[in-house]
Amino acid sequence: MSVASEDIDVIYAGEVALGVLDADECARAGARMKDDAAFAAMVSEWRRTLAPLSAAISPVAPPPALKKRLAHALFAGEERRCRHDLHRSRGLWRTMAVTAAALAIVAIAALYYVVIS
Amino acid sequence: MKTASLDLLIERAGAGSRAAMGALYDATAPAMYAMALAILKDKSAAETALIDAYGQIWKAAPTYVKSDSPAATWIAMAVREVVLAHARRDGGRAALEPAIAPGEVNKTSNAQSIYRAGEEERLAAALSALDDASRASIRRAFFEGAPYGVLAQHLSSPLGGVKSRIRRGLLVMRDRMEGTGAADTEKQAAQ
Repeated sequence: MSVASEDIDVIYAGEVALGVLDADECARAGARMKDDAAFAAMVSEWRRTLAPLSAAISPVAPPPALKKRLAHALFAGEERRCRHDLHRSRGLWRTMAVTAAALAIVAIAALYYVVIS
Repeated sequence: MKTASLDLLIERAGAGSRAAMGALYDATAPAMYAMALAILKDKSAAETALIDAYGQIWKAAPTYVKSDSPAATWIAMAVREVVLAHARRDGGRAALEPAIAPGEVNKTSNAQSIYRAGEEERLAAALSALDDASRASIRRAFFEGAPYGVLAQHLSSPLGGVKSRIRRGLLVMRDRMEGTGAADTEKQAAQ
């Protein structure tokens, strides 16, 4: 089979997307994708093209615990940050409440003073 | 879950919605878990790969561009790349036994599919242009995600024959897809 050099690239890109290259060859292809945008685009196009093949496998429900593990992996760091924010806002509310109470006392004192005099 | 809402879920997840990320996982994980199991052949390895994959989807969601690839395809591409990377990192261990019994590879009903009908049809049309041997080899290669050498063992075929069937098939598919791709571009230009 004689193949044009452009076709060789298309086939090679398809092999990358299919995952049929061994680890060394795959690493070489990965390096080329970094330098050669046209080749990288060909690989992406093949990945896009082939992805719907996955639909031919019957879905399998993952174990329910996996979603919890995922949530922990994704959000655990953010959870801490949010709690921290909550602390800060709690502090703010406390400051505002104390300030309001102090103002009320001053206002009552002033009113009392006005009424007395 | 229909594909139209997958687009929306990715966008919301990209904006930081954990609920949207959870819904995205619920809608796509069974198909992706099946794919990970087919390639890695190990539940624990498939679970680890899925956590890694959805972690990357969560990070990449803000950069998702709807027009570049349909949502389900975008997710499947991302998950498959992570799963293949895990398979390569595991070395030959995962490659020891065939991914799935051929009987398990079937055409699921559209109700179960997360893909838009057009995507699957375009691929099916390209595959139908292949001779039986090339089509079977390409499908098997996709589901196993294993290198040529391992694939040849599983198919009990000489390495050279497997390579040439797959390469011939890829070339025919490319020619077929270029035809439909041009038609799509015309359609978009007309809109």
